[in-house]
Amino acid sequence: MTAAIRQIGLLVAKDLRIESRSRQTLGLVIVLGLLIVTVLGLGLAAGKPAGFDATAVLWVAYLFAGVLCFEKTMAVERDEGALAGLMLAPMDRGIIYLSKLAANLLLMLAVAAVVTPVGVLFFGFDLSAAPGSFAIVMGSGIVGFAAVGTLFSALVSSTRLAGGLLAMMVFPIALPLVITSTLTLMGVFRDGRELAAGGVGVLVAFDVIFLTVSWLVFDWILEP
Amino acid sequence: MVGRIRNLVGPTYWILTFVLTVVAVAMVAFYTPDEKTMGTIQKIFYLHLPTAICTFLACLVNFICSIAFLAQRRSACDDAAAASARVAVQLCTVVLVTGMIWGKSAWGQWWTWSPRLTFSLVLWLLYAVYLMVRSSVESEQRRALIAAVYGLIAFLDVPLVYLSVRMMPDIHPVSVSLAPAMRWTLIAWFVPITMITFGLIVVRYNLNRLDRLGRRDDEIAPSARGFEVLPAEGGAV
Amino acid sequence: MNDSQYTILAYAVGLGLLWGYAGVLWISARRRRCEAFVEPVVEKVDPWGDLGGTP
Repeated sequence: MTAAIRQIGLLVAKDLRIESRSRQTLGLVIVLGLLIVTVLGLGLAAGKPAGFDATAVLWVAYLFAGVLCFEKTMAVERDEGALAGLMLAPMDRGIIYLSKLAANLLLMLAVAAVVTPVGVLFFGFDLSAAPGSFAIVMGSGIVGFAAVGTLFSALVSSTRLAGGLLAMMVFPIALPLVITSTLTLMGVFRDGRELAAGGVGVLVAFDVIFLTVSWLVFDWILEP
Repeated sequence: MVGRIRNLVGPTYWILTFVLTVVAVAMVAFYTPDEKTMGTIQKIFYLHLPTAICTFLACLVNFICSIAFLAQRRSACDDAAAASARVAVQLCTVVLVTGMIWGKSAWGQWWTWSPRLTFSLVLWLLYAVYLMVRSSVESEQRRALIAAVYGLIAFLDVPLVYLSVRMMPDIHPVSVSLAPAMRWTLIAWFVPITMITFGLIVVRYNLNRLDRLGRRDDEIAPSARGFEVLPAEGGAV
Repeated sequence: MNDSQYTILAYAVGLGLLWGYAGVLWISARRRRCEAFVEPVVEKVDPWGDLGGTP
């Protein structure tokens, strides 16, 4: 167990080191997220007092930014056959999945940390009522999204139109996350109710199911 | 002799299915009474519900074939998965269209974001994307693998979609109590629709097999004549 | 349009989509069968095969 954690730590550190030296992904993704929020804000929020659709807009930003993150972290392994070296390392393939997932989650966390406040500001969304509920719902949503996205990014990275294909595959799968989190947060912020246990249950079920399945399936799909 | 009987199975199956469809249509037109509160428009139900159930059946076939492919890597499983997904999309289109016509008549709108309409739409999207993913990957092996993993994930996604749309406000009739005549009509519709579903899957599967085997011949031919066969994937760096 | 017209429309579109797809598949199956019948003949008269192709 401790060996597995150490291995994951090493792989994540490797990915983050590559990112910190090349500065390819993070800046790009954050600016993309901000652009999406701005474009949708100009289209939707102009002339409307309080925007409860901020959560949906934030999801659009997370989805597109996330797809770009997943694609980039996997494309790193495509260069000069790095993946073959990774696969030769004496460890479980599931470890590779978990480390890629962790790296993607850290990147998305960084994106969310910048994009969320801007979205909240632009849409005049009062987060102070229940910041904890917001964090729980969006956090578990992003975990599930990253779980599926990491699996699919490994699956399609060797094809010609990897990015477009990835977006097309992940978006419909992620729809239950979008539906559940927007409806749950609507209940909390607009109707002033408690955080609905059913909604969080669906999100957690999504996370658990797809983390397990992806971890199991990852063994079969990795090809250099 | 065996071959001749085999040649008769297909046409007999389809003629029987067609006759049963005609019988079912006749039952809706002349035998079934109108529902009291909803009136004539409720009769769409006899087509709508069996098609919806058969959509799930086709998705289930796709799920099973996807897992079978991942376990055994047989091209036949991939072809069956492709066939069932195509039929699922066709059936889901029927569910969506009939549901929309029902909604237009009952609520005066073609589309409302009611849970079940949303559910059908997401289901349609999931499997339409499956078909699009198939058509945009060139390498045969890679396509089969990507499609199988996607099929697996998509089917596991379906119950989650159902749970998530249940949180929406609903205006759908929850349960309809059926008079005996209505129940018989419903059963009479289940038979031909199920037969069409499985018939279409089998025919589509046979076509996929023919296509694949035919293409394999073409691929072998150039290499046998001394030409180099270009690698199907990994060309662009 | 009234209710019964909508109902007829729904049945026409629904059954049309199902049986129409069956018809499309039937036609392409027939075409495949014709091609399977023609292809070996084409193979036989293919000049390249006779000019030094090895089986």
